[in-house]
Amino acid sequence: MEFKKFSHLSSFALAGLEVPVKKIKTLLSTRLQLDLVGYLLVSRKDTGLSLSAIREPTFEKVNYLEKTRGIVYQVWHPVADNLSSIAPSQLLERLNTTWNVAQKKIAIAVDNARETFNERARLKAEIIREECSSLASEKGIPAVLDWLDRLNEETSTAQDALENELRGFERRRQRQKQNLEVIKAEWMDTLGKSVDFDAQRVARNFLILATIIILVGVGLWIFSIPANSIVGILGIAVTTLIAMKFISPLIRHLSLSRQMNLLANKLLFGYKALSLFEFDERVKKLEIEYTGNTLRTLFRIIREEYEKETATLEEIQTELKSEVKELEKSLLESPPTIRPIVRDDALREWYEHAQKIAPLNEWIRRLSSPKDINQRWAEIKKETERVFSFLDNVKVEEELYLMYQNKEERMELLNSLKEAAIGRTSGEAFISLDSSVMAGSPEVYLIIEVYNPEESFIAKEIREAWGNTGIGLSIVAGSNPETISIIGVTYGFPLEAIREWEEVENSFNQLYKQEGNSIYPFLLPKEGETQ
Amino acid sequence: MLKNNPINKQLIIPTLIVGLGGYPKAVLPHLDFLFYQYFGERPASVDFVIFDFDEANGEISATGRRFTTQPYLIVLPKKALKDIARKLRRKDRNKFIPWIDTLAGYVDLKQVRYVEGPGLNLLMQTANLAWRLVWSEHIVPQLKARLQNLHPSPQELSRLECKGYSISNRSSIFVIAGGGSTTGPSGLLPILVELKRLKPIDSNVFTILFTPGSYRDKTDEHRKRGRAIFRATVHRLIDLFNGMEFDQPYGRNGYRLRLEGEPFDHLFLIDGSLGGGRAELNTEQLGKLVARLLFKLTTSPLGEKFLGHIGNLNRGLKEV
Repeated sequence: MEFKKFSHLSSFALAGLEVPVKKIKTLLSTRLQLDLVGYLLVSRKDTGLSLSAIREPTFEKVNYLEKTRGIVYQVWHPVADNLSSIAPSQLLERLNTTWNVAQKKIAIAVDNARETFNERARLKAEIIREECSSLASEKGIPAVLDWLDRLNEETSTAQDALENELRGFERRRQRQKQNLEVIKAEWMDTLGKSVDFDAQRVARNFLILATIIILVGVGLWIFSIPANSIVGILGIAVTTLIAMKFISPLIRHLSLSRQMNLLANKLLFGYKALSLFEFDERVKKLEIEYTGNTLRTLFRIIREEYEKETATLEEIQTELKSEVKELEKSLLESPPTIRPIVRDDALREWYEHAQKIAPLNEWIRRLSSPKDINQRWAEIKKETERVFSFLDNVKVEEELYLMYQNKEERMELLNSLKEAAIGRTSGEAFISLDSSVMAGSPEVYLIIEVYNPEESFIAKEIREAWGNTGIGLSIVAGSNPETISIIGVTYGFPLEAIREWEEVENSFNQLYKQEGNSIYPFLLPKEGETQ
Repeated sequence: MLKNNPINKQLIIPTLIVGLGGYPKAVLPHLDFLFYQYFGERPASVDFVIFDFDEANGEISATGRRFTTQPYLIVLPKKALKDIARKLRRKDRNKFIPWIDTLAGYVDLKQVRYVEGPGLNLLMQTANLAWRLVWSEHIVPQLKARLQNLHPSPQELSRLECKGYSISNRSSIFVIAGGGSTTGPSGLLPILVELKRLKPIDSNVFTILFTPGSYRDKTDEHRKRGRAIFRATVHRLIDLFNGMEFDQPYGRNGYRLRLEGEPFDHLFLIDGSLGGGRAELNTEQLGKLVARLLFKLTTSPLGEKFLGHIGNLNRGLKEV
């Protein structure tokens, strides 16, 4: 029995060729990302700079010493200038007062020095981070970790040397302190002696002595006694003895003053040196703290940052490896009627081209610093994907011609796709039809979507092969050069032509017997049945 | 991402895809993915909605992203159905559901059964009633809202053009449903009638119906009943073409659906067989291919060509 066709009943199918550009882009950019991460995670042995060769951020240390020593000198300067004008009895008190002032100045300077060391540590951290970043980009992150370990060891050595110096400074200060105590004692002793000197009595004695000399001179002149006579000689000798007696306190006093001046200077320099030694010692302690604790902490922090980055990159690497594996596996996956066109040579060429145009060094540089690694990675990931935008120009037609250079092979492939779209006997899209029950064949239409059909060779070949074969054919411009689509439309067939329709009818009849009209999606009321 | 090239703009044919039941859930996530893959988004003039009595989502994962039906799946409530199915057993049912007699003749109320579990379980009269209970409240507002935005407003149009899209003057409505189950077949005809009433004049309505042959993973009993339901449904559809009038109450408040004429422009039947049954596609493969076809029809000149041919199918136009 033949059934009448129903025009509004149809089926469609879709077949085609495609270069899975999106998948290729993802695969190749993922490979590029994997190479990038691999480069950073592989160690290329390098010794790196030694601790002493790493440049200091500033010369603040030297300046600091000069400046602060200057401050200490300035404190002692007025005392040194006016030392002679200070009454010996007030000298010690004055020196002690100045010492206290110097101590306060030193305390402030040490606080400033601490700030300086902190600033220096901050700047040093930047320098070391820069060095690490540079080393990571050239030799890989493991080389950075090795280098930081070595710097840590060198820091211990440097710290030992500084501690030795500090012990020397401590000894020197102790010695100076003891020396100062000795000088102080000497000074006190000398000062005690100088207290006996009575200037008025010395002056009075000078007047008496002058009077005696005048009287002796006048006596000798009045009595015409020659000076070289016995009386004259005796008179002069007695006068000289008296003069000697009177002058001796003065001479003794003058001699004592010289000694006191000497001791005062010794005292001054002793105090000054002690304050400077004390200052040196405190600065040295800061230096030890900087070299030992600060630098070591810095190395530890940077190392932790790089360890964290390594862990992050290793995690990324693992993910990328599995992604690449999945992508490679799924590259040729497509629905059964879509044929992916992927040439191995093309994949290799495209990857090599991307390597040439990609800013690899820039990406490595950005990834070689552990700061905001996740954010940087996300940015770079997008950038790697953008590098492959040149694949937007890949045309499936060109790839097809490169893959199937022989026309017969090419047409064989296209014919197999056509069969998928309309069936081998034309008229079976995504449905199985039994044409024997139809009055005539269903109408079959093929719409081929080709990018730029005017210039397309494949469009020409399709027209030549499939035109005038009783199948409606249209070639339309596609918006995407990556695909050639073949859409088959089969229309105008009776329901009964659907293969195994008998089973459908049988099932319906059986159920209809049991359930009646209830099998329908809605009932059609009989007259009088509705309200 | 779409390039904003004023010379070579990306053509989009405004499209609404209405899914009924479970099968559309195998199609629309793939279609969503294709839009995302090529344009980075689904253009505003392409809209999806799925009506189902089963809350299960359709979902795929691709390129590290999830594409799920959840944003456009309207889960239809079965609470009223359960309540009424219980009350229908009572002798004094008119006291509790006085309006139920308005459905007499349109629904075989004796056959209405409520079964706990997802979906409508191949019980056609239960499904027949279920749709009517949710129609005014859940179906009509959704369809109205979506069809109102099918053709973009001038403001939306210029916004889309700025993004590099060129929007076609034509539009399409696709209804996707499984033909050998319950929700799809029972909802298909009223939906088509409602769409015919609400759609813009220059819009074509197409139906993609999965035939019983595509229910390869179901039990024999399910397939047998499914085949009967399919036969009943498509016969009703063809009856409409042959002059049968559709005039049915859908709702408790006297809302009626009426149509005299063609409920669709074309009905595509697919069973996922290739080359006349020499090979078969599984549901996922078929879903992917249907999604690809819909993507092509929505986003390329091929779509306009296709619509042109469909408009002339009855004349058997052939071009070379």
